[in-house]
Amino acid sequence: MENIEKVKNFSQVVAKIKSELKKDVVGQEDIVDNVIIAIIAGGNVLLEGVPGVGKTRLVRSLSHVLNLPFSRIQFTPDLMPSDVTGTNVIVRDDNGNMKSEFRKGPIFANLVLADEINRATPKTQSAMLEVMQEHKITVGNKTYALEEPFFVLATENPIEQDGTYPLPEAQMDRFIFKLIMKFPGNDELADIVKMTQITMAETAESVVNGATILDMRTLAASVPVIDEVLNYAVRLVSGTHPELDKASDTAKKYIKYGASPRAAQALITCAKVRALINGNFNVSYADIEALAYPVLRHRIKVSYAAINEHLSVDDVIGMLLKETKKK
Amino acid sequence: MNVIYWPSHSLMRIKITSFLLTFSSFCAILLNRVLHIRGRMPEPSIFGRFAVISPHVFVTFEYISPNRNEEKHMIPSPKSVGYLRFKKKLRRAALVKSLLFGISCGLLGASGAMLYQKLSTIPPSIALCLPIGTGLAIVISLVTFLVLRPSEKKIAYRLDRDLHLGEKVQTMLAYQHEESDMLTLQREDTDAHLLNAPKRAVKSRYAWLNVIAPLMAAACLTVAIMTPIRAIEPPPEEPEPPFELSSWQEIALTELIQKVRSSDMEAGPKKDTVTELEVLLAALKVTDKEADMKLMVIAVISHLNTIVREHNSANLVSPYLKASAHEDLQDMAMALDMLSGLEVEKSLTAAREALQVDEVAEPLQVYLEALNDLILKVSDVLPTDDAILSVLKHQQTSLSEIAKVLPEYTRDWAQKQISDIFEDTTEGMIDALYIQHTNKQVKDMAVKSLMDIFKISEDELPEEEKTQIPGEDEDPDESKKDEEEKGDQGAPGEGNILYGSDDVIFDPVTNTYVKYGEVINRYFAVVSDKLKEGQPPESLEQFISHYFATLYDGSEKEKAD
Repeated sequence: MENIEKVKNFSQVVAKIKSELKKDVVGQEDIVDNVIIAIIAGGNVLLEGVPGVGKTRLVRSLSHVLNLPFSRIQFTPDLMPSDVTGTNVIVRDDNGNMKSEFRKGPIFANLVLADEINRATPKTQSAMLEVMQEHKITVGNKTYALEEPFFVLATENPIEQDGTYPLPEAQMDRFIFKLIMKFPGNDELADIVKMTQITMAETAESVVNGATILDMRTLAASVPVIDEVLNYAVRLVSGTHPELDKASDTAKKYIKYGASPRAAQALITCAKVRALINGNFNVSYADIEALAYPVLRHRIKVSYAAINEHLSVDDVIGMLLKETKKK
Repeated sequence: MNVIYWPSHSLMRIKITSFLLTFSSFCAILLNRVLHIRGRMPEPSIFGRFAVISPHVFVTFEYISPNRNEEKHMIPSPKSVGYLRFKKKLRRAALVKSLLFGISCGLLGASGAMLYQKLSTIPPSIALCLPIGTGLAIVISLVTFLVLRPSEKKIAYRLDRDLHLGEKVQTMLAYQHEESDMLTLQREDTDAHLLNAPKRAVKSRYAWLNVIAPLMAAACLTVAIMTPIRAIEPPPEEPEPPFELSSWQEIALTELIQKVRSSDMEAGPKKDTVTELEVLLAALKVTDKEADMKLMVIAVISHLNTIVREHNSANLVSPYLKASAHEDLQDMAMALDMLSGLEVEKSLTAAREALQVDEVAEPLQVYLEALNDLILKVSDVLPTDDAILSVLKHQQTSLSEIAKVLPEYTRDWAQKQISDIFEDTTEGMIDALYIQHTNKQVKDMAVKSLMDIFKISEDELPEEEKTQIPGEDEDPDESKKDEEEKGDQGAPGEGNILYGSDDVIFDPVTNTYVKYGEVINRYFAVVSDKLKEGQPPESLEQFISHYFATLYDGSEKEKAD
């Protein structure tokens, strides 16, 4: 019974989170929705956007709303893995003896903003991504578990590509979504200016906590999905592989590398969350179609033919959706 | 519990196969029936019928299989009130659509059958069109309903699609076995949506077909009813072959007329025969169709036969002779039929010998009575100056006188008198028959010539005109008889019968009976001279030469034997 109430209240809780976030984040509703979905689904998000569009503010505001510790890591080329995870340091105890003590890195938070992750060296990137995947850190012979819910929002600066280390596809696959934060429209920009003239600090209040998020995650996992919808998601992901017999024509022509099985997992997991957020108690085709872009855009590498025809990844995903039959 | 079997994939194949088999076997039986009526196909054998029916037995067995309940794909109907509401509507719609489609097909089938019959010049039969239409309607309605009847999955899909429920109903259907808080909420949410949705929101696809199809079928039936029965076209008339009297034919016909004119035929029939031939010649000169030519020639042949038949009194006397009470007079009938003097002599000789007894009075009286009776009857049908009648009357008179004075004279004297009387009778009869025989000979020659000149076969002649032409016996056994018994001699023929050298014919030159072998050389010589002079036409020249050559060879052969 308690669970039924929680399920019924699911969308209301999310609505509260959104309404609080709106106080600090103007516009970007799709981004906010997908970030919430990713947090509840237990995934991490790769955010791409020009500077100043509110990436940090979003995560910081989210931490306030969810009442979860937040940390920001600014990745630079000289950033070491230990700068992220933490390291052992020699300290003097109360008795004056020297001892080794582990100093936790900025990664030890529930919400982490990994800013400009593509500026870090591959070594540092790997350390970061490993933590994202395992939710634990091993230093020496000791393992430190990260507190759940653990969410990383990594950003990539699409402008300054000099001196950057683009994330390899295998690493990109660990992000459940890739979201593109667009430059706000004139009205939204005007609102941002007005709002930040008053105060730059986040004003959103806490409405939930980490335990609630974990409950919501558990509830979302129980949302039923019929075989037809599940197979649709599978066909969508399989259709991105041009080397397969059943590949779509779009894949054969415009895709060089297809999405991994994690894409299918991500689609279903996130679709369940989205269904509940929308007040539905089952996954539908619409949920899959809506999540296809953020799930697939960083997992597909387009071919030269697509580049030649000025087709973006999103354009190719749109063509894939049209080609993939629902039944 | 409302349990509805969910068709597994294999069962769907069986359904489709059953539908195809049913429809095709129905069509096959129908086609066989129609063709059988038209006489183009026999009734199907028992094996054929079994071959048609057996697949359906298999399908029926599959349906009643006890394992059906244990199929893992069995999906019972959800208990959702909202769902059941729409389910009834969809099933009803499928039923209506099936019925309308079946009726349309039935009307089309009946129209097709009617049109087929009319275009095949057969009067349309309600007994055929009605069962075809009704059967098609029933079968197709049933099969269509089986195909169209929505399964639970199809109903769920339709509801999600038409009511934009985002796979709620399909999820409810798929998880109806399981229980959880989430699933309970999902069912309640779905049911609430279904109850709130208006029924009309679920629309029947292609509903306009429900109206258009029956209308079109009815229109086809109307057209079929109004189409007239195709009339049997008469076969195209073959153009009549033309005819033009060739110069050879004209010459041959002219020669024939001359031959008849110069023959020994009696004046009366000769004149009539010549007239017929002359009229024919004149008519053929202006005839341009072969059919008309043949009709004319056949008519002339018929007239020639009639002329001689009516003139030759032997034909008329013969029946009365056959009916005579006296055996010897009966024998004379055959001789008259054959126009054979030899046979007449034989029969009269037999009659005379029957009277060569000691007590001649009684047999003579019997003979006289029969003769009197014959003469009385024959006198009604023959002219008074008829030769045969005269001979018979003379015999009657003479024998009567002998009978009167018989007691006064000796037996020998009576026998001598009777013998003389019979000799006179024989001579008279032979004379009379000779003339009639000549008439027949000339007539037969004319008929044969006409048939040869104008290429008319015996089959084209009417039955009554198919005369026995000498040399062409119809009865093969006749050809085995003794040549002497045949008696027919001298008429031109194809030489199938070789006349023996010892056959006796009447020689008009010497007025005596002579053996054929003795005169054939003379005849051949005369003919050869004429041939050399070039008198007969060329075709006849060859014909005559062959005729006499055959006779001559036969005669020489007999001499050698």
